[in-house]
Amino acid sequence: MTAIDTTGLTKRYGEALAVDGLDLSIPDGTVYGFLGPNGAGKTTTMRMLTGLTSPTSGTGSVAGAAITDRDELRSHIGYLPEDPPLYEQATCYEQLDYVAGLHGLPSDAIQDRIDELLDEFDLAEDAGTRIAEYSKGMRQKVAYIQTVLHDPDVVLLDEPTSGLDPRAARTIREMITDLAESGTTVFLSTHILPVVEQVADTVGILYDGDLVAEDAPDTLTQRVETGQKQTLEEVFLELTGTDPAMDGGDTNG
Amino acid sequence: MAEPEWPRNALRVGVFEFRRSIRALWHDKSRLGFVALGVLIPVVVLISLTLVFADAIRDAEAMHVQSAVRGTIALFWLFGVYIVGQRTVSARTHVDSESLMLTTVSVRTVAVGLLVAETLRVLASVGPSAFVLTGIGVILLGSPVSLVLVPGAVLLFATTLVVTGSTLGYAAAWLVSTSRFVARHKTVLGTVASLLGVGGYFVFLSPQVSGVGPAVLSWFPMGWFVDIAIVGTRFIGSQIRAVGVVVAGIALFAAGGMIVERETADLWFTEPVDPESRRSERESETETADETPSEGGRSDALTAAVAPFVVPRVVSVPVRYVAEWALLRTRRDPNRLMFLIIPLFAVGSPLLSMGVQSGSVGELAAPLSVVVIPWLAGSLFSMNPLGDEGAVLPVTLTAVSGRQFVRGLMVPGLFVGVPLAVVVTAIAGAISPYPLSERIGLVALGVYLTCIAVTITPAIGMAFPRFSAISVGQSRDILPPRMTAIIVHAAFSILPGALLAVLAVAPSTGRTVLAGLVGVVPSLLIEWFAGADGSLLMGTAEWFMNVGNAVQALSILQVRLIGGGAVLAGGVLISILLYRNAIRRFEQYSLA
Repeated sequence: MTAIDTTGLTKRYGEALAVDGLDLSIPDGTVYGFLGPNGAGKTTTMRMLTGLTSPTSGTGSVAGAAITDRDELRSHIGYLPEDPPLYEQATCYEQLDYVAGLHGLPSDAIQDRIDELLDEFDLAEDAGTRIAEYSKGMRQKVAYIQTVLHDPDVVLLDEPTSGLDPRAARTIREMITDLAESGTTVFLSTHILPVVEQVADTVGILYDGDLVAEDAPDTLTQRVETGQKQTLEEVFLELTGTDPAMDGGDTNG
Repeated sequence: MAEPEWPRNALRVGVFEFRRSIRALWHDKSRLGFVALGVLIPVVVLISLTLVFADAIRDAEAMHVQSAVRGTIALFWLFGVYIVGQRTVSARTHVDSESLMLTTVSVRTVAVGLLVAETLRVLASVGPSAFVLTGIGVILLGSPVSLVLVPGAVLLFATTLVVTGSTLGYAAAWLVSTSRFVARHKTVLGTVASLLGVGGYFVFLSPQVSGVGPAVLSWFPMGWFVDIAIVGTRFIGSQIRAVGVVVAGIALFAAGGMIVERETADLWFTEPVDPESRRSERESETETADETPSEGGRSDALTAAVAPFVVPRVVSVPVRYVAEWALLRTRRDPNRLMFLIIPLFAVGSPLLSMGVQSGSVGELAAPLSVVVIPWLAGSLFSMNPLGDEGAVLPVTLTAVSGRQFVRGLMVPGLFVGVPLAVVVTAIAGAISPYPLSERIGLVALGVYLTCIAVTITPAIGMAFPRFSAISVGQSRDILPPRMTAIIVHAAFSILPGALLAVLAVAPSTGRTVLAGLVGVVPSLLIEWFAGADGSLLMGTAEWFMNVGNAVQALSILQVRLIGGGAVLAGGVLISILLYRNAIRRFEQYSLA
């Protein structure tokens, strides 16, 4: 079963081409690492997949719901944008309770889940404190919890480990793996390549709106011609840099 | 399609947003103080009047509701619509945490939730007054049904004005988002709309002008809420109107709600137009065709961005950069200007109202424009020059000299202010009863005051900078000038300007004011401080009094030449000193 499926997904802002004919086919229960330099079109892609931005052309579906059908899409997705969408004036409990309520989750059942997630992220003691007083890492944790609270089919994470200390970042990595094991599909955009290397089943590299490479991390890092092993960082720089060796080469995976 | 439980979710969103507003207000004590005053003063006035006239109200005979009462309520409703619309378009076009909200609930839920939140804010403002009115209805007028009908009328009043104001506000935001022309000129268009809105309000408040009083609006159904509120009391309203306003209110609520849902769906999912792109494309095409390199290899993107304003090429390049940035910053961040528009309306509206009611608009307009336009020209562009630079300040400090920076800050005020002062004062002078020589004098005075007000601003802005943004409602931060800077600048530009304007058009009044300022006031102050046995100081006080008397004894020509000349020369001297001070402040500024 395909969790995310797009065909020729394109987005233009006036004359500027942000995403150019993106074709994705991501199976259920996998982690898709979405890489690309700044301005490559990653966030635009995520906004199209979540229905927040309409594509200029092309089609797509997430968990079987067309990306142009926001009402159908809502219950299937959880989206964590790069800037955590939190209310400074609310406490962590209030924020999570509010979001759970908007999702229509039964309050008795959800309370246990909130407590469990708060414990897991070491937030239980500070859950009654205003978010305005939280550090960047704590905010990121709360935002992550609210993203997965309603147990969505597909979770789209934009830089989820940004600003987190190593322990919290590790917790998020483990959570991503757990999500995938429980059947949730994770679409993960990040600049932290080791994270992708550790958790992703497939890696897609976007450059100037084009998907220039897509494969399993091991395959990508294995140089086909020479058999020489590279790091994902080296592959990334080679594909998105100005390496003459790549000029004219079709690397679309 | 909205989710099935959207009404419950919308209520949840509304209550949550309202609670956030209250918490934000609670943490901003100065704002809380102002809001509390705005809510409590009408309540105190209402209670005081009720206590004084309690017996008269209790014993009042049956009487019909006057048209003026319905018209006044309609006028308040329209004013409320204007305020809500203005709030919507300036600071509330998008919901906070938009990506979360729009991927969690439907657009209808969010849009209606925001309407609920705004209605709760309005009710929090008018609720205490409504409570007192309910008490009057029940206790003094003996109408138990007032317990339901007065709050009901207030609720309907609040919901209809919020829905209508939001509909108009979102429509304006949608235009800004989709029309390049509107996006580009939103500051000018917004200011014109504000002036028309507030101007219209005061026209209706002043029946002396062309017979247009609030009673004219009594036909408007939104003034008929009074016919609901008085049911059961001795006052006689119209049952048809009472039913009519309920029907109209429900219809307005339903239609407005649907329109708001449609507007927000378009607004929140539409990429806003870039007001600069087409011009930039055209400029680049022109440049390519002409193949004429711009001055010093400089790209003209900034020049194109500030168009239709043009900073002439005779202005040297670093100064022109600073000037164009100052222009662009003001145009692209018009929210900051609200802090200037508020005192403008606070002072200008009563003056205008007074002029209208006394039938002396023609006499007031020209001297008023002589004072207000220079103040505006000075305030618009450089009231917080260091704070406005933000993170770029270190770069600016090392890139340009103090002289270039300060001159650059002055250029927009001069290029916008001087022509504006000339044109507006000339037009106002043309409708005034003053002789030609005084009209010409007023125009010249407008130019002089503009130059002074613009020259003194950078130093004042640098002396009282604001570096941290302040929060206006929800989580939206803006960086207005500091209130101290605004007050000091107003004191240095408006007070001497007003004195000079009075000396120009009403010299005998000006002479009395001048005599008071240099003689009577200091004399009285010294006497007050010295007390009964301060013989030495009493001599000084007497000296000041004699100076005042001497000024009062001067002829009109003498007072204009000596008094006016002294203020004019003082203005030049202060502006030179403050200009140099601004340069020194910039060059000696050290980052914290």
